[in-house]
Amino acid sequence: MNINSVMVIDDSEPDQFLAKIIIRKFDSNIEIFQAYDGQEALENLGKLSKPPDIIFLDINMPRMNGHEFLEVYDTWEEQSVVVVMLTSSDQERDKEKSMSHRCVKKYFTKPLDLSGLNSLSAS
Amino acid sequence: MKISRITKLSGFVCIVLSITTLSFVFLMDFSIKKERRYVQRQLKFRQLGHGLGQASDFLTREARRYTIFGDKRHYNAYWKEVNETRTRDKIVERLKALGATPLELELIQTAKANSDALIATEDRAMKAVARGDLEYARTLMFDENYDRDKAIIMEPIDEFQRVISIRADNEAEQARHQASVFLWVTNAIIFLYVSLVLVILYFVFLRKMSRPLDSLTRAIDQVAAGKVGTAIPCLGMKNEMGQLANAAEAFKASLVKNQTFAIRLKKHRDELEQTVVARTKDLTAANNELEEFSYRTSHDLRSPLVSSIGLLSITEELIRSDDNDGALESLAYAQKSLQTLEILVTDILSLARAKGETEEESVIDLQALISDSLSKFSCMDHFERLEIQQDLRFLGTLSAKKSRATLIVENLISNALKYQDLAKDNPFIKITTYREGNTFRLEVCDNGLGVPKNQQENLFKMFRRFHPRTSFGSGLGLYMMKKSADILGGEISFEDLGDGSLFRLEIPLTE
Repeated sequence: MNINSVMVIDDSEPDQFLAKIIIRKFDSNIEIFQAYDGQEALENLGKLSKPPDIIFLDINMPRMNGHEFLEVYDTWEEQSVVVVMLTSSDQERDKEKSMSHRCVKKYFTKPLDLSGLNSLSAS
Repeated sequence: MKISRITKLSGFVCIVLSITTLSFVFLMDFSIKKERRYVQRQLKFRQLGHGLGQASDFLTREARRYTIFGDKRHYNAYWKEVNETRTRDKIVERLKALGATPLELELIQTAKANSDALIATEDRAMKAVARGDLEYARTLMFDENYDRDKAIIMEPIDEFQRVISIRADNEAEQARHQASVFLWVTNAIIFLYVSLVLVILYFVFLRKMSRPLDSLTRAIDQVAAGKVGTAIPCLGMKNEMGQLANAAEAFKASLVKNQTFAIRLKKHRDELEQTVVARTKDLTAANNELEEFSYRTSHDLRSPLVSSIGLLSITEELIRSDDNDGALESLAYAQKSLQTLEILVTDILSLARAKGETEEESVIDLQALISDSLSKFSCMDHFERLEIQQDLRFLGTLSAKKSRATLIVENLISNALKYQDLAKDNPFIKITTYREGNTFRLEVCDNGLGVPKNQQENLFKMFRRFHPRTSFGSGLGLYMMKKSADILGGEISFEDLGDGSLFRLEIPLTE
């Protein structure tokens, strides 16, 4: 798949920075949107004229966490966006719960690396 | 009086009455027999008196026949009667034996003596016959003198008959009278007996036994049916019914006690069940909390570490490619990440300490505690923007675990500071203390960012953060405050002011 834009949803500024660096390293032309929790992400997604190709989604966040985001986002009609979980949790329950949503395609544990992005690009 | 005593007494009286009745019946019978005996004796005496007259007549007849006919048989018969048969002597002896009175004996003996006097005349006449002087013999036997002497014999006998008739009549009358008296007494006793039996039946069996027993049985039935409010009758009676009533009362008391005990047991069981349910709920909640804690700590401890490693690796690459600005930015993020880790570790350690803490209560100087907390955060960003208002009206003594009180106050102040609304020109924090009733209250209110309405129910849960970008806490601050308030025996609550927040700590005061 062609990756032209991504949205990173993570409350941690260091992780946002880290993700940005890796994505830039992978392809400096990819447009990156940032959201610091699920609620902010939903607000931003609603404003975008064209949705991003990939959403990197963390789980533990203030206000609205990753699971809660997916509950809402799953009800949205347009489902062209690929959601990739990007979290520090390697717990099975988190993985199972996330992967149960049809929009979620991959489950990455932090940190994001180039091989992960390559695999997404190749899929 | 006891029924058994009345019954015994009644039985004794009945026996006495029975014996008395039998005695009087016997006496009556005796009197009747005595009357008959008197009548029969009168008859016997009459026959004996008559026999004496006949014996005298027999002698006269035989003597006269001898003087007329000269037949020796008459002569022999005469003397056989006088010397051998001796009817008259035997009659006298018989009368003596039958208990004739001296007057009666005297009359009979007079009659016999007169008869004996005639024997001399008759002997002279029979001797005249033997001499052949029949004329003389007949003269002696048939003249006026002989008839006169003969009549003299009968006079005492007639008198005897009259006397014994009078005596017999008197004695018989007396015996009849006695018999009628005994009959009357016997009737009276029988009447008394029947009356006594009726009185006993009424008094003992109906009044003392049957009716009380009936009412007592009904009351016992009611009590046994569970109506323990039923009054037990006959309690004041000083007899077996009273004893029975006392036993029923004791039975009722025992039943009431048992019922009370059963109710208490049921209440206790219900309470125990409720306690078990509550404890199970608490335990489940604690278990879930622990699970959540374990899950989140494992994640939150790992997350900044992984980030830091990644960032340091990036920093290294940037340094190697001479991008110093980029390297510095990366380092700053690594530092921030590690700071997050440090805050988390500090909070986790603080929580762990709080669980095992055995701190004694001490008097809290609230003024000093608040001042110290404020000065502790004075070097933090945006502190100087905050207008600090204090209204410390509580003047009493507050005894509490100091470390817990400090944690609460510091967290409340630091939250107001961290989550102040930077868009506002007049951010403030107002700290108030006062007493209401028996409760100490500490209120911290601000006009900061507040808490989103949909998150307010999760406010005091662990690892909760409500403000993206601005949050640099572990998400454990309010949770630790809640736990600390629990340890102080108080409560912490939140009030949404619309344009800010109000946190209220309440601690009951002990005198």
